[in-house]
Amino acid sequence: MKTAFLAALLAAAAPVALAQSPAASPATHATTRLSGLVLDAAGRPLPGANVFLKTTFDGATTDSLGQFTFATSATGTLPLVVTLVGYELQETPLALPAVGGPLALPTHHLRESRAALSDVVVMAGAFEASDARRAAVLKPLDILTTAGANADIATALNTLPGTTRVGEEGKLFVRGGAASETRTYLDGLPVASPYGGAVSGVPARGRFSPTLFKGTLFSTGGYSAEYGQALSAVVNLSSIDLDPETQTGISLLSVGGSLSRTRRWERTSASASLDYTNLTPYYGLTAPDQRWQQAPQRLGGSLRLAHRTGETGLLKIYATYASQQVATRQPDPEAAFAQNGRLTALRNDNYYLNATYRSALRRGWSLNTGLALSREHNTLRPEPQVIDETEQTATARLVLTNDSASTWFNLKLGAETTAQRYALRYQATPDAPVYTPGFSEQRTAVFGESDLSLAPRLSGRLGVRSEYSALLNHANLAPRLALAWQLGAGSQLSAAGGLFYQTPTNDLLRVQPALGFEQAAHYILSYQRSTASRTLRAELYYKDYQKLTRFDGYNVLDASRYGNSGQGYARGLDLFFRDRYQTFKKIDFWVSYGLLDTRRQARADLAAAVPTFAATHNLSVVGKYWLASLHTQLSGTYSYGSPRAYFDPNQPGFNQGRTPSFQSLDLSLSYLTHLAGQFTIVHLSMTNVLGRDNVFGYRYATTPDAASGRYAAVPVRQLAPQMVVAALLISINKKSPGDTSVAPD
Amino acid sequence: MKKLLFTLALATASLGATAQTAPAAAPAAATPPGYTEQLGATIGQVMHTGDAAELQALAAKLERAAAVAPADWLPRYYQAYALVISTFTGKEAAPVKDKALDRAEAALAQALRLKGDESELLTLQAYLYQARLSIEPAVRAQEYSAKVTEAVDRAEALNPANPRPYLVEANNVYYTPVAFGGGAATARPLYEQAKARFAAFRPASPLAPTWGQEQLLGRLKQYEAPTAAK
Repeated sequence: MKTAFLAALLAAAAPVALAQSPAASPATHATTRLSGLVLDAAGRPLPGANVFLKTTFDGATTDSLGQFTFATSATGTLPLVVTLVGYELQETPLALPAVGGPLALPTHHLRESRAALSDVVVMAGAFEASDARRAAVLKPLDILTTAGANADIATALNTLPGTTRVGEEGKLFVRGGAASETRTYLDGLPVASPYGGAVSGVPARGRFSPTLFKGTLFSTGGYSAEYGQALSAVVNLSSIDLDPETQTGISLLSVGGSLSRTRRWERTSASASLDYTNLTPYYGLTAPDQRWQQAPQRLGGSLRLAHRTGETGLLKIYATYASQQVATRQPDPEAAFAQNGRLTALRNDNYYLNATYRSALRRGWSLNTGLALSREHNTLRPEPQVIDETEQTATARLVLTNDSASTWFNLKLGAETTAQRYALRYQATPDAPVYTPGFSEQRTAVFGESDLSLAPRLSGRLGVRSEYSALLNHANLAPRLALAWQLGAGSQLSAAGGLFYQTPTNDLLRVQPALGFEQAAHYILSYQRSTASRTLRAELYYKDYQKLTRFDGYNVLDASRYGNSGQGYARGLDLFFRDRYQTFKKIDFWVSYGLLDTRRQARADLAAAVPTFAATHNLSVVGKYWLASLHTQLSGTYSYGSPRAYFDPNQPGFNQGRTPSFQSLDLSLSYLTHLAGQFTIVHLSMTNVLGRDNVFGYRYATTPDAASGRYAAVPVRQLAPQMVVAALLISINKKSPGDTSVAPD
Repeated sequence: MKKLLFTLALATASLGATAQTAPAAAPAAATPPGYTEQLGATIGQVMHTGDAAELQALAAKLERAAAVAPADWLPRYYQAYALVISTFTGKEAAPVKDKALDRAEAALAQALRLKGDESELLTLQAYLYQARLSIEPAVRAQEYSAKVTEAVDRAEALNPANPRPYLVEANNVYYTPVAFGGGAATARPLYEQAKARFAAFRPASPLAPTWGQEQLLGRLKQYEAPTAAK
């Protein structure tokens, strides 16, 4: 039957004519046979264009030579329409002869339409892990399956170019910027404290589990006017909307465990989770010395609620609490601690609430609004000091977007206001007088931005952001511009630039609030070429720092020595290549390389020099190998960082010392299986498999040794240079395809 | 897997469009004379071919039909359907197929704006996700398999009597590796359930979607013959 139909269709060159129903026109009309040619502006044939007479089914698709031919029995004057994706629609009136017969039409030339707004997206500076866009360089799952990251977002992003691995701190250091220059946003709201508490030598972990997010945008420069308070980089985390299904999750780790329960209703989902980590048994086995007075311990919980309102509204609430404790005894250069090392104890308590609501409004406008509240308390006891630090932040945000303002541009307008209160209680020794600096800040920002479609292959983004800080009593105005030029099907050249401002960090403001905004200007040129399975990106950048805060490192509390006189620069080249199962059939891998040249004089720096957190050459190779027959994924990450600077007071000059290079090979294995009928992942991971002794710098005594006249030094290392974690992750899925006893309704 | 999906698409494409031959009883609001008959004939052609080029041409014709009756969601629906099936059977490179699916998605969005049957549209959306998946299974399986599940769940919730989301769901499970909780054995009860729903199903109008039953029966036949079952 099928073949009969096909034969019939093939035999009839113009099936349309046959299909023409007799009911349409009772009188027998003469048939007109139309033919013609469709070309582009340069005269090249355009195949695949749909040419037809409006109000009828009569028409044809152009062939590979741009030719079309079709028959119609319509008469009178009808609009002839030519459409093709990527070209402007053409509509011309056509008078059909009443007598019929052949009719050769003049050649149609189609004009390329201006790029549709989402077609050419500015790539400069940005790495996106997303499911929504197929062009995204990373998938959200990549963050979980990158060896060495141990499901930490910042560590996974550290395998991208533009970053320097600073092993003793574990945060993101981007393009010669300090960790404080990278701002984390959660659903558009800035996060006051994105990392958990940490003491030197114990790298900080991010507060948020990567499984909460459907998308992660990591921008290493030139980002949109939507983001402020970041001199170097932005990480925007987009949380998942409604959880897809009801389930219970149990994770058993060699160092703790977690329990979660999710419920899904038609328009609502709610979930609760509780997690506990304690490294005491682990370090009891692997670190018999006394460096851990109290091994890291963490208790946390979270509640999440998503509710769909009306046709397009979505309300999301996420609340989390975590308490962490750690106490270390580390070697210290000061004579007083030479014997037993120095005890540093930390307790960190953090409450965080993020509530957002988005909905479509009228006439193409949509609303995005949110509120974030956070409270963080640090109790720090670096022998013999007593330090208590409290920070409370509230941010409210409202953004209006109009995506149908015009075919050629959209419009985004927003306002954001932040109230922040910071208090410190400090005693040099338990008997010393109490020093209690603090401040209150109120900061308001407004921004406007537009994506513009400028020409068929050229699009741009123009934005401006302005902020006012009540504490600094300063306002700023930050223009941002980006352009993207599509060179071919998969290649793009883009450029971005702008001004970026940030208020000085809390430890500076608490001594001297009368400072100005710190400032950076970014200039970026980027080239990207991508096919379905390969992506290559090369990016050149230059960053100019101005008005960085400086103070006297020997008189830290002398407010009069604080000022915005620091400056610096960072320039370099970032390369990224990813190949998904193309070169090697079962291997997905990426290689990142960053070349960085930077100098700055900021904070207590004695001269303009390479900062301690920058490495000239940074390389990461990440590979993932899927063994289908064993249901197992093997992942490996190799990282290299060239020697970093440190200040050796025994030698002339500043930041003149160089550490050995940083190297680490991390491996992990995930095995997918069923345990008692429930989907289960067995995960094993090991960092620094080769056991390299990475030294990140040296700490020097504040005063020289009386006898030798030299400053004593101790190396800075990770307290746990190698980590082995085993985990068993079980999802108890009510509606799992494995469970057929429950009707899918 | 790709091959299997290909057979699946062929099976779908070759099923009979039984209701399409009947004359239109109640034409949709203000369509030109002859429109319903011509649309019905075009839909019949879509349902009886597996040839990608043919399906592309029919999609173009359905786009013309949409210009004739801009308020009718059915030409948009079948345009998307023809494009989806064409990517299962076609031999083009991945980006070309993705472009075709982008057009299908645009047509589907248009059908939704025209207040088409949401359960059917979500089912086709799920089918479209399967098409995306089969372009690059190694990379896309996890992501799109989850999207299929979400879309069919919503389609089933909107109209429990619609058998097609159950069929798409069963296919999704069928092609999911056993290690991830899928496989032929797990999918079988889902096919059985879809069969019962097909038996009870009556289309809302003569041109409303009816596809899927032949594919389903073919699949169930495979279970009967153990050598043919994969």
